[in-house]
Amino acid sequence: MNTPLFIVLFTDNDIYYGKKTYEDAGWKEIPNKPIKKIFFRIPTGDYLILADYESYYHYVEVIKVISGENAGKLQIQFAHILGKRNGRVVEYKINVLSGNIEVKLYDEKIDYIQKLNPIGWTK
Amino acid sequence: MTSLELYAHTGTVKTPEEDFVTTPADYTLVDLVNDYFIWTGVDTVVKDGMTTEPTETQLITASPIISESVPVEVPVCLLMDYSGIGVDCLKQVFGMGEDNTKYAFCFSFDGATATEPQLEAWDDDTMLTIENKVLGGSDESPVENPEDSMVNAVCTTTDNPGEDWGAPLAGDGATYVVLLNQGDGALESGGKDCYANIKIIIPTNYANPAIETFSLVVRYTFIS
Repeated sequence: MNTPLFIVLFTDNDIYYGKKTYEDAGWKEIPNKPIKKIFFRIPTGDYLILADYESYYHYVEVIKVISGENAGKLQIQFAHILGKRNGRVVEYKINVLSGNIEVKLYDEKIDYIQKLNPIGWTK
Repeated sequence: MTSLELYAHTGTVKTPEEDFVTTPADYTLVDLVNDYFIWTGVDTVVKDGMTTEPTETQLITASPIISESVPVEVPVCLLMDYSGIGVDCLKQVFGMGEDNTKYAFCFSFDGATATEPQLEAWDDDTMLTIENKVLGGSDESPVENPEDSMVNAVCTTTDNPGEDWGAPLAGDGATYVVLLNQGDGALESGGKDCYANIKIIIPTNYANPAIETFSLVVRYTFIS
């Protein structure tokens, strides 16, 4: 798609546009300042809006086939966008092939959240 | 984005004791599109150093024999290296299946991940079913029985696997995948070489011998 994967609106009304692909979305280049909203593109082309979280996280989940039919294929399966607020984390797990979206709610102290690489959280 | 390369320990040290960084010449980069692994028996033709791609007849002759009395651990894993045709295209993966051996298969990541990478086995790359016999599939209900998978694996990134290692690998159930960073979570910036050992054990008197292919996949994540 020819639109940014995500758009960040900061509390000072500045805007940061992510890049267009899952492989290189520009997440780690988001300026370090308070975020008001993030618009995240879903496979239909519409944007999901996450607002007023303390911190946000995005990552891509892929499969690399190392033996068997189609060995060598790298397939992007899911895009994940998370928001953390008041000790709770909401996750939207977006199937980039089917377009289905799974929503999950976690306590931030669970192992999955604690073991996420900290470099992915926005400030 | 973070990329993954697979190396197999094919060096002259029969029981590998050194990692890829220490002895890179003892590892072969697997061309995932053209190369493939052959899990087979001990044979005088289909073996380390063979200069041509084995024929189907040669592979059948070399295949392991099912035992009526004990489980059979497939003794040899060969990498069919297309770039070596005419020279030494069959390279044995030394250390495969051996007790307490850390360095057989190296999964080299060149960057950080968001979560811990994991090794999985499926019927094919659609990753929907585990009905192949080698992955525990049955003709009776239930069709899928990951606990009966003949494919066993263990992560050896940090620790030696000890004796009689291995857990069945099939599907994506938490107990039937192998975490490649020894349960320590995401890989940090700069990436990491993760290691695993894999073996195939055929049950005693197994009644369904077959030629089956299955897919080994690595599920990993990155922050883009």
